[in-house]
Amino acid sequence: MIEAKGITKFYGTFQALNDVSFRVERGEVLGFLGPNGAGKSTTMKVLTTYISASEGTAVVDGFDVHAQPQEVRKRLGYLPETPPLYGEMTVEEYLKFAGRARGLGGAELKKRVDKVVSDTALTPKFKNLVNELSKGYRQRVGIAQALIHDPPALILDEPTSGLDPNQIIGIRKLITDLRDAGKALIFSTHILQEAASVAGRLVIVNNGRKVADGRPDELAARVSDNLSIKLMVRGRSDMLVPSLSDLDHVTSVSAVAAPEGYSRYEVSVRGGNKAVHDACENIAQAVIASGLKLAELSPQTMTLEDVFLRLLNDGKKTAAPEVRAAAPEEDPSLKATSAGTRMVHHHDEHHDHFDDKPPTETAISAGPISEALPEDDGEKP
Amino acid sequence: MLAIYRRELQAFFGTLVGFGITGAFVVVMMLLSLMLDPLGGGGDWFKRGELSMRTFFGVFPWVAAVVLPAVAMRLWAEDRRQATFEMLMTLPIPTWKVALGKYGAALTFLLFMLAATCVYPIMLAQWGKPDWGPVVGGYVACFVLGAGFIAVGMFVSGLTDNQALAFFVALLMCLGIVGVGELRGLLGDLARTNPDAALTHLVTIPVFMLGLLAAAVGRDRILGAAVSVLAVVVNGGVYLMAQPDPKQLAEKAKVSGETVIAALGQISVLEHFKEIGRGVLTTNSLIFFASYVVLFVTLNVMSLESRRYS
Repeated sequence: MIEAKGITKFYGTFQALNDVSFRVERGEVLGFLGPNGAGKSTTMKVLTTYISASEGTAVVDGFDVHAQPQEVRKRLGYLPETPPLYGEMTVEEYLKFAGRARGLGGAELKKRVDKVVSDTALTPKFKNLVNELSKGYRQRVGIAQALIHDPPALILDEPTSGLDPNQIIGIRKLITDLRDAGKALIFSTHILQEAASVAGRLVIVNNGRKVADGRPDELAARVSDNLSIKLMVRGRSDMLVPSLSDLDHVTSVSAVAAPEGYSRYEVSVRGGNKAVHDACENIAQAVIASGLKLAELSPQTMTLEDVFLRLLNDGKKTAAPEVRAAAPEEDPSLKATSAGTRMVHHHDEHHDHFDDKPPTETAISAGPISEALPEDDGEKP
Repeated sequence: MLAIYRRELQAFFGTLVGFGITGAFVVVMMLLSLMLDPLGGGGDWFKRGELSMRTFFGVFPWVAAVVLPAVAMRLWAEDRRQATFEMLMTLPIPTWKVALGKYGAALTFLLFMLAATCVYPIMLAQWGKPDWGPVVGGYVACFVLGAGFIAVGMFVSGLTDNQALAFFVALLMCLGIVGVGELRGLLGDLARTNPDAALTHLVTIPVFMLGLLAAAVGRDRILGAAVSVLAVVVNGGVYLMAQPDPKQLAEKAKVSGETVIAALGQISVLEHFKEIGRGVLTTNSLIFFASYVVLFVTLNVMSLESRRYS
């Protein structure tokens, strides 16, 4: 339905996009993900014919964005980053204008206006001036305007930015409903959970390049090396480390500081989240077989943030190897954080959770999230 | 196109701004045409004791050059400031149709503004037996001149997202358009003593103005400024260096003077405005104003379309 073919875009001498390709079919939601300034909006502007690509092209429902822009525009609904609203109109007037501009009229227009108003839950504000609406409602009016002509393809640029958790859930529901109605959707976000929660597929861009494209679990599997399991046992046994090292998926075992009477180990595992769970079972069995008491066994599976940061860093490495030193896991300030005492670290975790509410607001940037990375950083062998 | 037209009309009439502009326009027009006597003929309206709209139509070009940029300034600049511009440019409507929709709404507003001055002709009808030919002709002239100014204003409005900047640039351009015809006297005098400089001025002044426009709202500001400076340098250079041979001066001055006067006469808005105002609707005058409109609406569409490739 929507296909980007090697889009490259220069603004003057600045290269905003470098050979970005992907496709979205009907009934599919593509989450377009990347840090701020990665080229998400630029890609969407090319897809919607707002700007023209320097190289490459895009095809919507068989029509080329450069050769047949009018045909493309008829088939697209577009919500720009800021909702395109006229404040001095009422919601009703505005949606009627949007419909008329799309060639609707008469009974058809009225029917469509009623439909999008009920779909986006705008009924209570139907007669209000757009200027009087709260941000959540404004965003919904923007979405309603993109839906007014019942387009087969929808492009939504950060549809949930600035909304409260309830409103976000509403928009997500709307997106999945539209997907189930057989539309092709692309939405951009810099919030990872959001993309993962509704998108069947993720495209991650960074510095104008596509760094990953696939289902969320596929992407997680692609980068899931060096996961770890924390293990604490009561007592001491010299036989434990060798027997753990022989287990499947386990790459290394190292002893770390532990309270008196206990031993604590960190077990590194390769092969993804599934391997971690398998290894946990085997470790538990090995501990019990060695006659020790199992006090703690916690798998550090990979979160989406970890996947995302890995992919971004991989992308950076291929694009510019010299920036590798700036990768978050090697940031010296982070080492300091995770090298702190257990107590302090617990406090940190608590603090992170507090900051994270609502969880969907966790922005993707190298700073805050890397602090929530599993603690494999400072304690690597 | 109709949808855009309707929305823009609503923007003019849906808020108090439209009525505010109209009110101010009517008050200023009435005051000026009653108090002033730009055409000469002995004092203000009261002293003259003459019932005519000559003064009204005489001051209109200058008032319109100030008021109409304010009408046109928001046409695109407001959309450019908001995301509605993005919406307009991704509607399945060609940009020229969107532009015509906006332009049509502004022209309708201009008609409304002119209609609001109807108190003046009503006054005439009440107290005298006016010759309606010049009155109707004058209103037609006001409309076509205003249509040209709005086209200029809409073009400038499409270049920036700053309404105040759009207003001032359009104001300068409109005043320039009215004023350029008045350069005839100055350049005609100059042609007598320095014919080369007069001819050069004919070229360098528009180039200077265009450079200034580019420097104010264009993408390549430095280039625009450089062009302006270059025009001034060439202008000054020719003015100072040109030492016409006294023998040839008379002949040269004649050629130069005629060229200057003919060229400026052609582009002089006021000449054509007065011609239509006298009730003489010549194709020449109509084509003159129509070409202003076509030129600036086309430039407007081109400048907006070119943004897709920037």
